[in-house]
Amino acid sequence: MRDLTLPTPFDVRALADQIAARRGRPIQLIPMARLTGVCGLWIATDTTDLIFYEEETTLPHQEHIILHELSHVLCHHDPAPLPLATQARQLLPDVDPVLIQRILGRAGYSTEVEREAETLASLIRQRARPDTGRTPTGRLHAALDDRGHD
Amino acid sequence: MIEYAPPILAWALFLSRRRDRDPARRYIRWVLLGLAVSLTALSPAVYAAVGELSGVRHLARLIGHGSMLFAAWAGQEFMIRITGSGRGARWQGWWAGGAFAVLCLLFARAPELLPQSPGVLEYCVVYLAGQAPALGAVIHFGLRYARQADGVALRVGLRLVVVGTVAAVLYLVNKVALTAASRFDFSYPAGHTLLVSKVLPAAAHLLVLVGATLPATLGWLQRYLLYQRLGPLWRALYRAEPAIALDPPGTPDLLRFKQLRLHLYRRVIEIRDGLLALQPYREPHILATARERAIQAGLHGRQLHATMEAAALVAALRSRAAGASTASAHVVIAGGDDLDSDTAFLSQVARAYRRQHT
Repeated sequence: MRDLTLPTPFDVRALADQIAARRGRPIQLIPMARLTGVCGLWIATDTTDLIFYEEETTLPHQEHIILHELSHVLCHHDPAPLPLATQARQLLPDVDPVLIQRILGRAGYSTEVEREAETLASLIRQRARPDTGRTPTGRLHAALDDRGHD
Repeated sequence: MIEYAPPILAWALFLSRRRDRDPARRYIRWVLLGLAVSLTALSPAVYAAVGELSGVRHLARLIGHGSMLFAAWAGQEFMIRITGSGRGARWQGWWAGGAFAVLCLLFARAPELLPQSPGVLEYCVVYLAGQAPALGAVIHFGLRYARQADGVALRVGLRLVVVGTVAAVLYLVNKVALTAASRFDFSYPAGHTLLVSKVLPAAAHLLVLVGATLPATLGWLQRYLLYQRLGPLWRALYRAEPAIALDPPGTPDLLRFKQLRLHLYRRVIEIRDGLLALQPYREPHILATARERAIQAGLHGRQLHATMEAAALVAALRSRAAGASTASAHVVIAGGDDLDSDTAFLSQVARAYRRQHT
């Protein structure tokens, strides 16, 4: 996480672009309403990482869901159970299932990989700083408010 | 014991701020460190102990003065970082360091530090001159940015720092006047009053300490209250959908003092996860009825939406408990567009939920 340069002000899409450039694989963020049983899903095909996220929720929640899936990517987590593969086939009917390499969905934290991704997503969001550096009063507020800490 | 309150407060405020790579925040920590060391060295017990251990009766005074020079220099460096004006930064460091070197030489000549001792007037003048540029910069920029600041905590905090710094300057000028009166044999009774000799320096320290830490303290308090306020809503959703919690409930909310920013963030995300899980149980007609009632009650804006959201939530929790999901065609997403506004919105929902639930 120390190697990540977080965009200021924080922008999860810019962060996704940064991770994609580092991996040499494009990341596509795809909003979708009512994902069944999950609110986010990472599908790795042979050429692209597709991140589906629930769109029927607020923007900060969408941002966190995307961060969770990006955390799976950053942690190199392994593929998920079969029901998600079935869902992937529904979401991507035109993609040959053989080309789908990894799938992970955000639905509870019963497994170690889900806990790890959720924790990393929360820590990344905590490390992100607001864009207060443009004016002296903004910088004063950020410094005296001890932003980034308790 | 009252004389130990300022050093204890200074150490508590210094230790409450973690190390940071950001230079401005680092300088704030150094201001607090300088004040804490200075106040500790000048407290009666430490003063006496340092004198006894070193064999130099007033050595603690030199340590206290050196720490104060350091605090003033750090305050000036902080202002330079904030204003982006780096001109003369190195010169100011040499100025403060040079002043301390001269203080050490003068102290070696007259370690008793009595007003009539030779070199004490020069000692007081150098001590004042060593801090004057820094204190002047703090007063100048503090006043300017207190007028421009948009937050009440920052405005009030900066003004307290300015008033405290002015009090410090007055105290230093008074010390010079006292030693000058003794050297040149003129009468200056005002310099010996309790107000000038005791109240002024104590007030200066206290005002600077409180002012510099007020925005952080109020920010922490606001997060603490928001975390408490969201508790009942989070627990209701957790009972219905335990999978929303990254960690099961452990520490009672009232005792949650550390890492509040992270815990508050988790609470907002988990509430949003819970609300999402309840979407299949939301009934559109509940929202319409709640809206009518809220408008009749004179509610509008975010409060209206929060009350509607709470009504929809209460009904959805009941439907879920009864196992009756609905196939709602359209879902209205109510909330803020960024983290702060969404947190504020959810706190209003939590308040409305408590009212409607009870």
